[in-house]
Amino acid sequence: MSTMTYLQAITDGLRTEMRQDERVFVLGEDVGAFGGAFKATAGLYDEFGADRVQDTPIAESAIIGASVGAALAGLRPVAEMQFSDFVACGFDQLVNVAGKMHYRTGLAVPMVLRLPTGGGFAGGPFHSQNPEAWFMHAPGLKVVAPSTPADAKGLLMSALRDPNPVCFLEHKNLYRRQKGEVPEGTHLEPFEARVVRAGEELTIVAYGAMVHAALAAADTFEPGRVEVLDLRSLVPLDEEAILASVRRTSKVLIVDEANETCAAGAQVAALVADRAFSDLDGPVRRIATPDVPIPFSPTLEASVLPTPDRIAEAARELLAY
Amino acid sequence: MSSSPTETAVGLVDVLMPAMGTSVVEGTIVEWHVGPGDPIAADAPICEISTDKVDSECPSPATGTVAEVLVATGETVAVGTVLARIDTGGGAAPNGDAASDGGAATDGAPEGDVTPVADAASGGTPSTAPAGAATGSNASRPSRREQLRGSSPVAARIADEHGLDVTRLEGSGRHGRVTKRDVLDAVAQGTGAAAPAPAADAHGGAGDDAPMHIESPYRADPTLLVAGAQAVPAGGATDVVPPTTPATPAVPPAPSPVARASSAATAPSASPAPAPAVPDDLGGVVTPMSRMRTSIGTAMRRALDTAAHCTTVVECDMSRIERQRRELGVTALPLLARHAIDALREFPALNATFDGETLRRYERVHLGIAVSLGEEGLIVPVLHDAQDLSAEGIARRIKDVAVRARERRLAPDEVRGGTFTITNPGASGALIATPVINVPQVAILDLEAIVRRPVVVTDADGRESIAIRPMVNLCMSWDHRVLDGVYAARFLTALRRRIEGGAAA
Repeated sequence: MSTMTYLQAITDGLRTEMRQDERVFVLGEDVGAFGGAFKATAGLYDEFGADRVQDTPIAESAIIGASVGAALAGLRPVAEMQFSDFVACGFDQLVNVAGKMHYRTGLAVPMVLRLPTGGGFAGGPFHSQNPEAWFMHAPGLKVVAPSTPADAKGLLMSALRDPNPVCFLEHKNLYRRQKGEVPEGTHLEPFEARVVRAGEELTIVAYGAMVHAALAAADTFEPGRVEVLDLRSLVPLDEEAILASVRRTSKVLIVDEANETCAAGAQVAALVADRAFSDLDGPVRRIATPDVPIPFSPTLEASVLPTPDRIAEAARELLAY
Repeated sequence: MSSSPTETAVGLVDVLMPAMGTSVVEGTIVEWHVGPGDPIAADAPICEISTDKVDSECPSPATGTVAEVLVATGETVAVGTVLARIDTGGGAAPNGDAASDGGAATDGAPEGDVTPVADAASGGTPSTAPAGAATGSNASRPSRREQLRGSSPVAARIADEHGLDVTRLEGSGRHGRVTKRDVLDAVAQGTGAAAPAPAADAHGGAGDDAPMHIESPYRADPTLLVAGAQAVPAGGATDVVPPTTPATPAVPPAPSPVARASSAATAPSASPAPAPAVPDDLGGVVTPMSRMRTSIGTAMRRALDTAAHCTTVVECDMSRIERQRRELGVTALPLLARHAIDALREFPALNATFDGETLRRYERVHLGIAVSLGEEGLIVPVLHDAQDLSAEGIARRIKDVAVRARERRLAPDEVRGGTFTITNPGASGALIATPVINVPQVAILDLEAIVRRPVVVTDADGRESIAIRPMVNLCMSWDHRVLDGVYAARFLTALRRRIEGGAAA
């Protein structure tokens, strides 16, 4: 174990797997000598050289398309989008080519697409989005979103060993704010949800940065009342863990940082309504960012993103329901 | 018995020993989950049965009260024998609960007695006010919509299960809404005697342990419940116990002390305690044969005594399979199975059953896959209509049945009706074997270990050289009563061609 930031844990996961598996290589804009816009690939160029840490043109379609080709040829590419927002330029290669390859041809596409997501730092509409639901809606892609340094490394290394294209959503706002113990060497986490705070009267379902907001909200109640479930993986969605928690607590609050309509939390809400109806003791409630672009202005941004206060308020209402 | 045949003749449903497989004619009761007088819901496991093919739970055919148990634990009876009778209602009606639409014949009567005398006031529900009031009227049961108006799905459901009328309970939720907690409190008070004191502040100090919730639809196995209750005395922090438990005894377990006691009492007698292991003068220790071991032994003996066993072996180059399994991320077994299914349809005499008189051939392939259960034995789940599955589909199905076989969760239908079996001991490194046919089938194919060996290969120009190839022995035992060696050899070479990719497959 050693203490690392979320960002260092990602670099550590990449480095660990690159040392063990020479098929793994990194590509993206400025990932080489510069170490990436957020320094997630810092030091990798020095250690592994230009063949395994490849700078690319500013062309997301080409980055993802080349990754698909490399994966088909037996390599294990890790493509970085500088900001997840820019993945829209490579959408066809990802959703249609990578995602449907195995279905159409039987060939596996073992690639990882690193997507720095999320807001909370006045990045504005092009640098703050949470596009995970786009990919949840595209069969053939896996979608994971760690909330802690240990999970960042563990889920990344599992993604690197997964035979499918995996969208790895790393939250920019956690990069340097989250520190924690991270296992050394190979660390693999299953694509499953985890109860991060046990409670009996209400389940808050969250993932990514919202796990920390949910924990802060849960802390405003007596211990043992509010449970926090970190989804960690959105595809596959750990339905049994969600249902097991809701069946115990009978109330559920689902938090998304993404825009509300059709977000991951909507899927969770539908699941609960469908399969845990007769265990519910209150309405299935959601908190998400309203369907607006993320504003530049820090004050305006804070007013659209879910905050611990807003989550706690909804939790209080549900507990009293 | 509280219900005589005459008074409830209409309301009695027989529980029969189910048929678990074509060759299974009898089954043994391992354990009863209920005793006479216990309530039982339709499809809930009523007893556990064991046959030479599979151990399984026997689901209750109806909701009601167990009227009588006719076959004792440990007894072996023929398929179709009446094991027990369930009283589906008549007797319990005056309680008022029977009028409810039913998920729960578990009524408020802790004694579980179905005699008509027990009504809300006197028998079933002890004296506390809320519960009494709630169960009071049997005149008109509020509709589901009325129930939900002032409560919630879970509150309505739990109330229903305990025979309470949720619309009559006092609500502590917003605008007087009846919450789950209100119902649980009412239930707990209703049978207060059974509940240890801390029930009231059940939700107080939950600590870090997430207690198993009593409303989970996944009811703990009664036997486990007993074990847990004994093992964890006071402040034990393991799963089952903590705070919400006090509310538990409210109803479902109430009748069960009897059942528990009886099952606890009968369990040992089912499997006599092993004699203390005292080695004899040569150091040998008497080891009891498990039921599964014994029945496998009987079945194997019967197979060898009836089928005229012969074994044919071909050697096969698995290069192509090895490549495919890497591509598809599966093992060799499903790929081989897929080819075997195709080959079987060319050689229908091998996809057949023969009981000594009647020979049946099948267009469809119901493929048995031998699954090892370790030292304990093995079982052969059947993939029905395997001809419709791709190799990946077969892989998935094999994984599924293997996992469930090891958890003893196979349904009787899943070990029934095989027409051809594949066994795969090669995973343990064996090179050749003469497997025993899974009668009444007529052949069993054995996939042995894949080993890299030097072999003579011929290139496109007819030149020969020695190459390293992953080779395997395909050993097939077949029944000489039904076919001859040439046919078996032709089948195996056709299968080899498909596997090696020589034939247009």
